[in-house]
Amino acid sequence: MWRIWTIFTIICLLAFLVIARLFYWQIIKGDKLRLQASAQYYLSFDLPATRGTIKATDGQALVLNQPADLIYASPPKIKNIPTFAGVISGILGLDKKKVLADLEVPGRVWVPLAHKVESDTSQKLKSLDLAGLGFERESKRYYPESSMAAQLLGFVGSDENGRDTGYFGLEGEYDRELRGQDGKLEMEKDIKGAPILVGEGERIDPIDGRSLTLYLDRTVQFSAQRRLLEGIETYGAKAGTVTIMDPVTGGILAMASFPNYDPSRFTDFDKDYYKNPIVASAYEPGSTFKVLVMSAALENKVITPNTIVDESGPVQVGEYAVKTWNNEYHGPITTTKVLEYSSNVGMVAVERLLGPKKLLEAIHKFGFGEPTGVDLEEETSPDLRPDREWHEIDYATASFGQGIAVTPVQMVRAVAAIANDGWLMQPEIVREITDTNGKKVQMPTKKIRRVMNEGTANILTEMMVAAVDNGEAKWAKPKGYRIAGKTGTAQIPVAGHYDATKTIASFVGFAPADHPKFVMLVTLNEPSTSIWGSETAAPIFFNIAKDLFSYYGIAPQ
Amino acid sequence: MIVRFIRNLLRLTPLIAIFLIGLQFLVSNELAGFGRNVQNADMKIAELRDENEALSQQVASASALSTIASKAEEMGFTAKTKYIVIGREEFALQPNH
Repeated sequence: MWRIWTIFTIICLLAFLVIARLFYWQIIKGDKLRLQASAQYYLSFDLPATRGTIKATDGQALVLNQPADLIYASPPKIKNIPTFAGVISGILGLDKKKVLADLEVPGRVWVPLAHKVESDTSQKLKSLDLAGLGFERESKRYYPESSMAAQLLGFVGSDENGRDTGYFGLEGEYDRELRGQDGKLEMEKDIKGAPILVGEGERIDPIDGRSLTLYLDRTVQFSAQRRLLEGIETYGAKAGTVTIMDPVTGGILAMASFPNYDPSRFTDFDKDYYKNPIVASAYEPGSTFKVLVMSAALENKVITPNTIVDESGPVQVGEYAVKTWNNEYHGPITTTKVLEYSSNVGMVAVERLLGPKKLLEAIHKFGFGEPTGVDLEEETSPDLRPDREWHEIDYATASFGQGIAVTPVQMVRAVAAIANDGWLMQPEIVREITDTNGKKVQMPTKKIRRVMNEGTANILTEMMVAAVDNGEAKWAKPKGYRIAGKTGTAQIPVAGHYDATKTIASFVGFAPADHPKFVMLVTLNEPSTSIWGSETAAPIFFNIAKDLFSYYGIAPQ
Repeated sequence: MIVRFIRNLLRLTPLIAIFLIGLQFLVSNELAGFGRNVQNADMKIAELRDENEALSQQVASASALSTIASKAEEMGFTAKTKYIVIGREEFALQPNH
């Protein structure tokens, strides 16, 4: 009997051991083994979506994709690691010691060497036929126009997970539309790695990113960029911007700024250059602001173009004395002459007729103190002093554009309202979005509000034409054209006071005055040959205007 | 007659089943081998896509304004233009009014 029990016990023990082992492999190690098995008989990889392109208004690509490769190494397959490291680092321009150190880490089976390597370099490496060197398809952005409109376009970098992500400009603002959605493929595979069609599997097709078509005109952008660079060199300025807008649609035709950067090598440049100063940097507009104050005074019928104001001498505002820019005084002058002479004293008189409440109303109505809503990621707006904190001197200085900060895009939008029969428009960069099936979505133009009636806009246009024809910049104006504009020279505030030698020179205007095709603002930071807008920014404006008249086939009036 | 037809059909059912099972094995066998063809087709599509991208890049580069401007300069074109505006006051023959 005892033999039977012994054998029974041994059998039970053996059965228990088998069950314990099965428990170990199926439950404790089950997940790991399932993964290992899955790796052996399952193909699984992401199907990357192609990022959308960005095109100018003529359909030509400003940003598109080029084929590129991720180069990686599989150390177990490399025959001679030091030689391999030497060859690879030489071709890819990597640090040989670092590559060697990465390859010699024990247990590593996959070592990334370089991302987004262009086709020529990849081909060179492929031709070497090195064992242990692998290639994985990646996409890389290509900018056929190089650094043109760089700050408007933005660039594509990597996020914390290594995914391509757009930063700044349009790449940042429209990142979701441009990036699309990656797909996935999981299929059973045979021993040779080929997919088994009748096996289990799942395929989710990638949805490629949508493409953007802009209002931006390459020729207008090219002219703006070229003339701005010429101007910065000629007038010894530290920086400059040109913004050109269609006053009727709000479409941005060009945005040029220097210094800028090359988005294909953005890591080689100072991060400060990434932000678009036209939408993200504030400046005091100076005398260009006078046209907006004048529009408010006309709209509220406190003045007409022939209203007489006194410009006999400096005007006292509290404890301050406001003088003209050149210390010249003309006695009683019309408000039209106030703009022609760019008289600060005359503007204080206009402001006093308008009144502080109406002035503040106008400033808010033109949209200052809040972002314009332009579709660029980094747009900001300088804050306006709260209404209750304005004093008499603040109203006076605001009337000639000092003591108030704006961005170039806010300024050009405000002046565009004069060219657009009094309607304030939202600036827009993107005209149309197209998906991979060719379906187009037009971005609607947005009328924000009416800031003046059509009659006021027409009167002010004539005053601005007179300011160009008879003002300080008349020498640079192209003959035969009616251009409405205003010069500006604003001192730069430094440590609580204004530095008389440092200015932001600017010129804002639109042409042809009767049926404006474009509104343009030119700003120059600290020109050194002359501090005045009439001698620096104005010539740049007129040079670009001449190019545009020729391009658009606009005959002299 | 319908009953006879149904009876004959029922007799043939096992044969039909065996035939269909055999056909499934044949087709599955063929399809199992097609995976390599699909893989080759996918690789070909990827190659063509890359080629398209490379060609688009070349077209964009050739039609870039900076390229055209530089080629124009090489060919002797200049950027400077002088605009001559002839105003009415400069005409020899003037209207009466």
